[in-house]
Amino acid sequence: MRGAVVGGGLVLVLLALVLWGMSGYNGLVGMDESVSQAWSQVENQYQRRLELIPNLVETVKGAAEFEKDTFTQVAEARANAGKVQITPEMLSDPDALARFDQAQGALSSALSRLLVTVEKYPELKANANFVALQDELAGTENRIATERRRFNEVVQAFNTKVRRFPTSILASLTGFEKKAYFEAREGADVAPKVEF
Amino acid sequence: MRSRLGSGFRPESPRFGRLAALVVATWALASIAWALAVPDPPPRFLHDETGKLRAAERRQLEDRLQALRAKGLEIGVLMMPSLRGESLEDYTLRVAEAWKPGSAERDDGALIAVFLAEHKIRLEIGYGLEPHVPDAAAGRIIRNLIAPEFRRGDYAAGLRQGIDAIAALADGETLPPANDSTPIAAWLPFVLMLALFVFFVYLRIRYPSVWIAGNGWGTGGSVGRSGGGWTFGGGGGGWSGGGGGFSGGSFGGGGASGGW
Repeated sequence: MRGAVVGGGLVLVLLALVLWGMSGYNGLVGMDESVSQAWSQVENQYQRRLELIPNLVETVKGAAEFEKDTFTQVAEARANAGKVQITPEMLSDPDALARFDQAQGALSSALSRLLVTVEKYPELKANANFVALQDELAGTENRIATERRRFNEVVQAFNTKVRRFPTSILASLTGFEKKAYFEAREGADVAPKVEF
Repeated sequence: MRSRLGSGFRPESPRFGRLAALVVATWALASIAWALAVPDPPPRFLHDETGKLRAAERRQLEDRLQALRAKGLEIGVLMMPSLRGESLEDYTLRVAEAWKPGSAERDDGALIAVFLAEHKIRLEIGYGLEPHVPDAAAGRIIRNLIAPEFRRGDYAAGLRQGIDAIAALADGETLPPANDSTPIAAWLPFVLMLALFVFFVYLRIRYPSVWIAGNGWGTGGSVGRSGGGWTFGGGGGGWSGGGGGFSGGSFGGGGASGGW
């Protein structure tokens, strides 16, 4: 009789532990998935920017063919940014994310130099195609800022969970690591202004 | 301001640095406190703090928004006297995230925001509406339809044109069927029940005397019922719900900004 009670109690405790572990693990998996999702949104928007650039450059070239250097810089920065890809598994590596951020940041500054150059060509402002591209670019920069912020929020929640006791034990047992997030660079939290 | 504060300090002294940090921190805190509050979601889709709309104009716009809503398109309108130093896109996205115009399944809402002092206009376009109202279209609506009316001082006409243009573009929208997905947590209670059942079966086999002493399943039954006290949390569904008259659409920063 006593053996049954003790045995039953032990089994219940074990059961509770297993259930806690399961729900904790599932929570981590769910949050890990949210981080991956948030990351793919960030990537989508950067990709969208990469795809906008050739059209933009072509349109600007038509009016400003003498700005060869600026075009070359944008093309190089774009090629570089295209090369630095991050898979969800690489998100625990702050250096990888920093490299990605740096390549995209270089592209941002090349783009802003291009847009400053454009100021000299008022006929572009009357070009409907250029104005449309400018709207798309501004919208994309804004989406990038939004998705970066959301990614950081999701990562923060995930990291808190991974590092806080007692989930931290579970996380280290099951191999969940804290993830990297975007460092706020000088002015990087604000979408670059696309204004003419 | 800084030169006056710094007059007693050499800029390179650590005291100056600490004071500067304090000033910056205070300013940062104050700017959070001064940040422009997001108004509650308006039950009739339009929130005007500028008083630039006459009562009749306002009612007409609200009726138009109501009619569109009945057709499945939710557009919110916000008119504010000033941004008070806020970034336009940050603030309007906060409003869109709080109001949640658009259906929760299709995210097909939109927000038209106007700031008088800065002469700024922003269209926020929900995720699901982006294919129909791309940023370039949103920019055109602001530049060619809203801004000219605003320049003449006719805010109601500008808003009406903007609303109608969005409605016209959204008209081709197809409505995908809503799908119900079961959240992972839903099966957890079942697993618990199964585990308890297995546990009791195990007890009954391993220690039959305990159970036979009672009247069959009597003891097990009472424990089982306490297990049945678990509430099944399903049915919450994906409806995050919007405030006011809105239905829970989400936004990702699409749209366009402009001015008049």
